[in-house]
Amino acid sequence: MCRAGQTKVEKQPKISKHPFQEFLDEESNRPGLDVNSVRYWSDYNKLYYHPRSIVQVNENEISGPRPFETWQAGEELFDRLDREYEMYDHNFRHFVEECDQLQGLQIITGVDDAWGGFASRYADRLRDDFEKSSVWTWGTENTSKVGGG
Amino acid sequence: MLKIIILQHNRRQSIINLARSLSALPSYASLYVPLTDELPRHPESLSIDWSSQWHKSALQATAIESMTLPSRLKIANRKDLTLIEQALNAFDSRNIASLALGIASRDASVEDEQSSIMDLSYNVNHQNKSYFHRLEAFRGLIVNENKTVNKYDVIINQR
Repeated sequence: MCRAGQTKVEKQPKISKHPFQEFLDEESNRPGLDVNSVRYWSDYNKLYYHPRSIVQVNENEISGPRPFETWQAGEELFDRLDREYEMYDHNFRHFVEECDQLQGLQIITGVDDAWGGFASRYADRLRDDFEKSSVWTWGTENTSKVGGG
Repeated sequence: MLKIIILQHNRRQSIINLARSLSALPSYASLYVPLTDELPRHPESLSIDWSSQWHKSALQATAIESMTLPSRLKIANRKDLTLIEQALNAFDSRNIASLALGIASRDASVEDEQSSIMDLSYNVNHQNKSYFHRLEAFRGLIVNENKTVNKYDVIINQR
Protein backbone atom coordinates (compact mmCIF):
# COMPACT_ATOMS: atom_id res chain seq x y z
CA MET A 1 0.00 0.00 0.00
CA CYS A 2 1.52 3.25 -1.06
CA ARG A 3 0.91 6.55 0.56
CA ALA A 4 1.44 9.91 -0.97
CA GLY A 5 3.22 12.53 1.01
CA GLN A 6 6.63 13.36 2.27
CA THR A 7 8.67 11.09 4.47
CA LYS A 8 9.54 12.63 7.75
CA VAL A 9 12.80 11.57 9.30
CA GLU A 10 12.92 11.29 13.07
CA LYS A 11 16.35 11.47 14.54
CA GLN A 12 17.53 11.34 18.08
CA PRO A 13 19.52 14.44 18.90
CA LYS A 14 23.21 13.78 18.44
CA ILE A 15 25.33 13.73 21.53
CA SER A 16 27.09 17.06 21.64
CA LYS A 17 30.84 17.22 21.59
CA HIS A 18 32.33 18.00 24.94
CA PRO A 19 34.22 21.32 25.05
CA PHE A 20 37.36 19.50 26.14
CA GLN A 21 37.39 17.60 22.86
CA GLU A 22 37.03 20.84 20.99
CA PHE A 23 39.98 22.30 22.85
CA LEU A 24 42.00 19.25 21.88
CA ASP A 25 41.01 19.68 18.25
CA GLU A 26 42.03 23.31 18.33
CA GLU A 27 45.19 22.28 20.11
CA SER A 28 44.58 25.02 22.60
CA ASN A 29 45.66 24.63 26.15
CA ARG A 30 42.53 25.36 28.09
CA PRO A 31 41.27 23.08 30.83
CA GLY A 32 37.82 21.85 30.06
CA LEU A 33 37.21 18.86 32.22
CA ASP A 34 35.44 18.92 35.49
CA VAL A 35 33.33 16.52 37.43
CA ASN A 36 30.04 18.12 36.51
CA SER A 37 30.52 18.38 32.80
CA VAL A 38 31.88 14.93 32.05
CA ARG A 39 29.09 12.68 30.81
CA TYR A 40 30.65 9.80 28.85
CA TRP A 41 34.06 8.27 28.37
CA SER A 42 34.25 9.87 24.96
CA ASP A 43 34.32 13.26 26.65
CA TYR A 44 37.73 12.83 28.20
CA ASN A 45 39.16 10.10 26.02
CA LYS A 46 40.89 10.80 22.74
CA LEU A 47 42.43 7.50 21.83
CA TYR A 48 42.24 6.39 18.27
CA TYR A 49 40.65 3.01 18.30
CA HIS A 50 40.79 0.48 15.53
CA PRO A 51 37.41 0.80 13.83
CA ARG A 52 36.60 -2.83 14.42
CA SER A 53 37.42 -2.72 18.08
CA ILE A 54 34.22 -0.96 18.97
CA VAL A 55 31.15 -3.11 18.69
CA GLN A 56 27.96 -1.17 18.62
CA VAL A 57 24.87 -2.71 20.12
CA ASN A 58 21.71 -0.90 19.20
CA GLU A 59 19.11 0.21 21.65
CA ASN A 60 16.43 -1.98 20.14
CA GLU A 61 18.60 -5.05 20.38
CA ILE A 62 19.04 -4.52 24.08
CA SER A 63 15.64 -3.69 25.40
CA GLY A 64 13.06 -6.42 25.28
CA PRO A 65 9.87 -6.32 27.28
CA ARG A 66 11.88 -5.99 30.49
CA PRO A 67 14.40 -3.26 31.22
CA PHE A 68 18.02 -4.22 30.80
CA GLU A 69 18.76 -4.76 34.46
CA THR A 70 18.77 -8.43 35.22
CA TRP A 71 21.63 -10.85 34.82
CA GLN A 72 19.37 -12.96 32.71
CA ALA A 73 18.73 -10.09 30.32
CA GLY A 74 22.48 -9.90 29.77
CA GLU A 75 22.65 -13.61 29.05
CA GLU A 76 19.78 -13.34 26.63
CA LEU A 77 21.40 -10.43 24.83
CA PHE A 78 24.53 -12.47 24.25
CA ASP A 79 22.52 -15.42 23.02
CA ARG A 80 20.49 -13.23 20.71
CA LEU A 81 23.52 -11.57 19.18
CA ASP A 82 25.45 -14.82 18.99
CA ARG A 83 22.63 -16.40 17.06
CA GLU A 84 22.73 -13.66 14.44
CA TYR A 85 26.47 -13.85 13.94
CA GLU A 86 29.13 -15.62 15.93
CA MET A 87 30.28 -12.93 18.36
CA TYR A 88 33.72 -14.36 18.87
CA ASP A 89 34.42 -15.13 15.22
CA HIS A 90 33.04 -11.90 13.93
CA ASN A 91 34.35 -9.38 16.41
CA PHE A 92 37.25 -10.78 18.21
CA ARG A 93 39.10 -13.56 16.47
CA HIS A 94 40.98 -11.49 13.92
CA PHE A 95 42.60 -9.45 16.67
CA VAL A 96 43.73 -12.59 18.40
CA GLU A 97 45.19 -14.01 15.22
CA GLU A 98 47.33 -10.93 14.75
CA CYS A 99 48.98 -11.51 18.11
CA ASP A 100 52.34 -13.11 18.47
CA GLN A 101 52.68 -15.14 21.64
CA LEU A 102 49.47 -14.02 23.25
CA GLN A 103 49.91 -13.79 27.00
CA GLY A 104 46.27 -13.83 27.88
CA LEU A 105 43.09 -11.82 27.99
CA GLN A 106 41.69 -9.36 30.42
CA ILE A 107 37.98 -8.72 30.75
CA ILE A 108 36.70 -5.65 32.54
CA THR A 109 32.99 -5.82 33.20
CA GLY A 110 30.30 -4.65 35.54
CA VAL A 111 29.11 -7.56 37.61
CA ASP A 112 26.07 -6.28 39.45
CA ASP A 113 24.17 -5.35 36.32
CA ALA A 114 23.01 -7.12 33.17
CA TRP A 115 26.49 -6.95 31.69
CA GLY A 116 27.63 -9.47 34.28
CA GLY A 117 25.41 -12.00 32.57
CA PHE A 118 26.60 -10.93 29.15
CA ALA A 119 30.24 -11.18 30.15
CA SER A 120 29.72 -14.58 31.74
CA ARG A 121 28.32 -16.02 28.54
CA TYR A 122 31.12 -14.42 26.55
CA ALA A 123 33.74 -15.74 28.97
CA ASP A 124 32.21 -19.18 28.67
CA ARG A 125 32.54 -18.96 24.91
CA LEU A 126 36.13 -17.71 25.20
CA ARG A 127 37.12 -20.59 27.39
CA ASP A 128 36.75 -22.92 24.43
CA ASP A 129 39.56 -21.12 22.68
CA PHE A 130 41.58 -19.95 25.63
CA GLU A 131 41.50 -22.86 27.96
CA LYS A 132 45.22 -22.91 28.39
CA SER A 133 45.82 -19.17 28.51
CA SER A 134 45.40 -16.68 31.27
CA VAL A 135 42.05 -14.99 31.34
CA TRP A 136 41.76 -12.31 33.98
CA THR A 137 38.44 -10.81 34.89
CA TRP A 138 38.04 -7.51 36.72
CA GLY A 139 34.52 -7.21 38.03
CA THR A 140 33.30 -3.73 38.93
CA GLU A 141 30.51 -3.27 41.42
CA ASN A 142 28.49 -0.13 41.24
CA THR A 143 26.93 0.34 44.64
CA SER A 144 26.17 4.02 44.31
CA LYS A 145 23.75 3.47 41.47
CA VAL A 146 21.10 1.97 43.66
CA GLY A 147 21.37 4.48 46.40
CA GLY A 148 22.79 3.74 49.79
CA GLY A 149 22.45 0.97 52.33
CA MET B 1 6.96 4.98 49.78
CA LEU B 2 7.12 3.90 46.20
CA LYS B 3 10.62 5.31 45.80
CA ILE B 4 11.89 3.26 48.72
CA ILE B 5 10.37 0.12 47.28
CA ILE B 6 12.02 0.79 43.96
CA LEU B 7 15.38 1.35 45.64
CA GLN B 8 15.04 -1.88 47.57
CA HIS B 9 14.08 -3.71 44.42
CA ASN B 10 17.06 -2.28 42.57
CA ARG B 11 19.35 -3.16 45.41
CA ARG B 12 18.02 -6.68 45.56
CA GLN B 13 18.42 -7.04 41.81
CA SER B 14 22.02 -5.83 42.09
CA ILE B 15 22.76 -8.38 44.77
CA ILE B 16 21.22 -11.17 42.72
CA ASN B 17 23.23 -10.09 39.70
CA LEU B 18 26.37 -9.95 41.78
CA ALA B 19 25.77 -13.41 43.21
CA ARG B 20 25.27 -14.89 39.77
CA SER B 21 28.37 -13.17 38.41
CA LEU B 22 30.45 -14.38 41.33
CA SER B 23 29.37 -17.93 40.78
CA ALA B 24 29.94 -17.83 37.03
CA LEU B 25 32.86 -15.58 36.19
CA PRO B 26 35.58 -17.02 38.45
CA SER B 27 34.89 -20.42 36.96
CA TYR B 28 35.59 -19.17 33.45
CA ALA B 29 38.55 -16.98 34.32
CA SER B 30 41.97 -17.93 35.59
CA LEU B 31 41.89 -14.96 37.93
CA TYR B 32 39.01 -12.86 39.16
CA VAL B 33 39.42 -9.52 40.89
CA PRO B 34 36.45 -7.65 42.32
CA LEU B 35 36.51 -3.87 42.22
CA THR B 36 34.13 -2.07 44.46
CA ASP B 37 33.27 1.55 44.13
CA GLU B 38 32.81 2.25 47.79
CA LEU B 39 35.05 4.90 49.19
CA PRO B 40 38.08 3.20 50.70
CA ARG B 41 40.17 4.59 53.51
CA HIS B 42 42.46 6.88 51.65
CA PRO B 43 45.27 9.27 52.42
CA GLU B 44 44.36 12.92 52.72
CA SER B 45 46.68 13.83 49.90
CA LEU B 46 44.32 12.14 47.49
CA SER B 47 41.50 14.34 46.32
CA ILE B 48 38.78 12.38 44.60
CA ASP B 49 35.16 13.22 44.06
CA TRP B 50 33.59 9.94 44.99
CA SER B 51 30.28 10.84 43.42
CA SER B 52 31.92 11.02 40.01
CA GLN B 53 32.11 7.85 37.91
CA TRP B 54 34.92 9.51 36.04
CA HIS B 55 37.11 9.95 39.11
CA LYS B 56 36.35 6.51 40.48
CA SER B 57 37.08 4.77 37.24
CA ALA B 58 40.32 6.73 36.88
CA LEU B 59 41.49 5.39 40.22
CA GLN B 60 40.53 1.85 39.30
CA ALA B 61 42.23 2.19 35.93
CA THR B 62 45.41 3.43 37.59
CA ALA B 63 45.44 0.41 39.86
CA ILE B 64 44.71 -2.07 37.09
CA GLU B 65 47.32 -0.59 34.78
CA SER B 66 49.98 -0.53 37.46
CA MET B 67 49.29 -4.05 38.58
CA THR B 68 49.52 -5.40 35.04
CA LEU B 69 52.52 -3.32 34.07
CA PRO B 70 55.03 -6.13 34.70
CA SER B 71 53.35 -8.11 31.95
CA ARG B 72 53.93 -5.35 29.41
CA LEU B 73 57.65 -4.96 29.89
CA LYS B 74 60.31 -6.26 27.58
CA ILE B 75 61.07 -9.92 27.85
CA ALA B 76 64.05 -9.56 30.15
CA ASN B 77 62.01 -7.85 32.86
CA ARG B 78 58.63 -9.23 32.07
CA LYS B 79 56.46 -11.02 34.56
CA ASP B 80 53.80 -12.81 32.54
CA LEU B 81 50.18 -12.72 33.52
CA THR B 82 50.46 -16.45 34.01
CA LEU B 83 53.37 -16.07 36.36
CA ILE B 84 51.59 -13.52 38.51
CA GLU B 85 48.57 -15.76 38.58
CA GLN B 86 50.53 -18.76 39.72
CA ALA B 87 52.02 -16.78 42.53
CA LEU B 88 48.61 -15.58 43.64
CA ASN B 89 46.69 -18.80 43.31
CA ALA B 90 48.06 -20.65 46.28
CA PHE B 91 45.88 -23.65 45.50
CA ASP B 92 44.25 -24.56 42.24
CA SER B 93 40.71 -23.86 43.23
CA ARG B 94 41.26 -20.44 44.70
CA ASN B 95 41.38 -17.84 41.97
CA ILE B 96 39.89 -14.74 43.46
CA ALA B 97 42.33 -11.98 44.32
CA SER B 98 41.93 -8.53 45.78
CA LEU B 99 43.49 -5.33 44.54
CA ALA B 100 44.96 -2.56 46.61
CA LEU B 101 46.56 0.67 45.54
CA GLY B 102 49.08 2.74 47.39
CA ILE B 103 49.92 6.27 46.45
CA ALA B 104 53.01 7.73 47.99
CA SER B 105 53.50 11.43 48.11
CA ARG B 106 56.81 12.81 47.05
CA ASP B 107 58.29 13.18 50.48
CA ALA B 108 56.98 9.95 51.88
CA SER B 109 59.27 7.29 53.18
CA VAL B 110 58.76 3.62 52.56
CA GLU B 111 57.05 3.11 55.88
CA ASP B 112 54.55 5.82 55.11
CA GLU B 113 53.59 4.01 51.95
CA GLN B 114 52.18 1.16 53.95
CA SER B 115 49.64 3.37 55.60
CA SER B 116 48.54 4.94 52.36
CA ILE B 117 47.35 1.68 50.82
CA MET B 118 43.73 1.73 49.69
CA ASP B 119 41.73 -1.43 49.25
CA LEU B 120 39.91 -1.36 45.98
CA SER B 121 38.29 -4.78 46.13
CA TYR B 122 36.67 -4.99 49.49
CA ASN B 123 37.59 -3.68 52.86
CA VAL B 124 40.20 -6.33 53.23
CA ASN B 125 42.70 -6.33 55.98
CA HIS B 126 45.79 -6.11 53.86
CA GLN B 127 48.03 -6.65 56.82
CA ASN B 128 47.11 -10.30 56.67
CA LYS B 129 50.32 -11.85 55.52
CA SER B 130 50.66 -15.35 56.78
CA TYR B 131 48.24 -17.44 54.78
CA PHE B 132 47.94 -15.57 51.53
CA HIS B 133 50.45 -14.55 48.96
CA ARG B 134 50.78 -10.94 48.17
CA LEU B 135 52.41 -9.45 45.13
CA GLU B 136 53.43 -5.88 44.85
CA ALA B 137 54.09 -4.01 41.67
CA PHE B 138 55.76 -0.68 42.12
CA ARG B 139 55.46 1.89 39.48
CA GLY B 140 56.74 5.34 39.75
CA LEU B 141 59.38 7.91 39.44
CA ILE B 142 61.95 7.87 42.14
CA VAL B 143 63.04 11.26 43.29
CA ASN B 144 66.40 11.38 44.99
CA GLU B 145 67.79 13.93 47.41
CA ASN B 146 68.71 16.34 44.67
CA LYS B 147 65.05 16.34 43.70
CA THR B 148 65.78 15.04 40.24
CA VAL B 149 63.81 12.26 38.67
CA ASN B 150 65.67 9.00 38.72
CA LYS B 151 64.01 6.22 36.90
CA TYR B 152 60.81 4.46 36.08
CA ASP B 153 60.89 1.44 38.25
CA VAL B 154 59.01 -1.80 38.57
CA ILE B 155 59.56 -4.47 41.15
CA ILE B 156 57.56 -7.49 42.09
CA ASN B 157 58.05 -8.75 45.58
CA GLN B 158 56.47 -11.88 46.80
CA ARG B 159 55.82 -12.40 50.45
